[in-house]
Amino acid sequence: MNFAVIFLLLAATMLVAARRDARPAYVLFGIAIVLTIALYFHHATGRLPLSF
Amino acid sequence: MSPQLAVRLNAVGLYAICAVLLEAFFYQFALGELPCPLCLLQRVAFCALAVGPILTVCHGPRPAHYALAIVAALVGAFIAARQVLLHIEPGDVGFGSAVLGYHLYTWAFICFVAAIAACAGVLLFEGQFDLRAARPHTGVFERAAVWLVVAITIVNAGDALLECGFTWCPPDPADYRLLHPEGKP
Repeated sequence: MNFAVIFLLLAATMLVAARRDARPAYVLFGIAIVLTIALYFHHATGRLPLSF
Repeated sequence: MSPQLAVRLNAVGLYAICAVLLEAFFYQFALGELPCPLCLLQRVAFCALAVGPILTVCHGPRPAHYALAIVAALVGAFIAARQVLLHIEPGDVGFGSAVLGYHLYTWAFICFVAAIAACAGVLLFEGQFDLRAARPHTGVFERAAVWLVVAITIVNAGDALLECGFTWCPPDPADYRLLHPEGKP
C-alpha cells in the first residue's frame, strides 16, 4: 500500500506540474522523495536471509 | 540550444522513462517476475525522474527542473546500487532474469547515472534559459509524452496495490496479495 501511495503522490505531482504553477509541484516532489527515502530505510534495515 | 529544442529533448527523455517502465511491466506480466520492494523503489525513482522534464515541457526550461531530475536520479542510483551490492557475492544468481548479461537493477543503475550525465550535458547550454526568448511551443509529441508517463505512474500505483495489498510489501514476493491474501491457491 505504501508504494501505491507514493506512486499516486507522484502522479498528482505530475498533474500539478503539467497544469498549474511549478511551486506546488516542487513541494509535492520533495514530499515524495522524503517518503521514498523513508520507505527505502524501512526495507534496507530489514533482516536479510543471508547464509554465510 | 534554443528553449524549443530543450523542450523537445525533455519530451524524448520522458519517452525513454516510459520505455523503461513498460519494459519492467513486460518482465512482470509476460515472464511472471514480481518486483521486489527495492525494484518497486527504483520504479518510484523513475517516475520521480519524470517530474523535472514534465515541468520543462509545460513551463519551459529552468535550471531547477534539471535539479529535480538529478535529485531523483541520485536517489534511484543509490537504491539500485544497494541491490547490485546485495547480489555481488560470487555464485549469487541475482534477482530476476538478466538482459544482455545484466539484471534489471544493474540496468537501472546505468540509466540513473546516464540521466545525471544527460542533465549535466544539457545544463551546459545556457541559451535555453534565455527569458527573452519566446515561450516554447508544446505540440502533440510533447503533450503525449506527459500524459503517457502520468498514465504509467497511475498503473504502477494499481499494480503495487495488487502486489502488496493493504500492508507492507514482502521482501521476496511470490504472488499478488490482493488476489490471494492467503498465498497461492
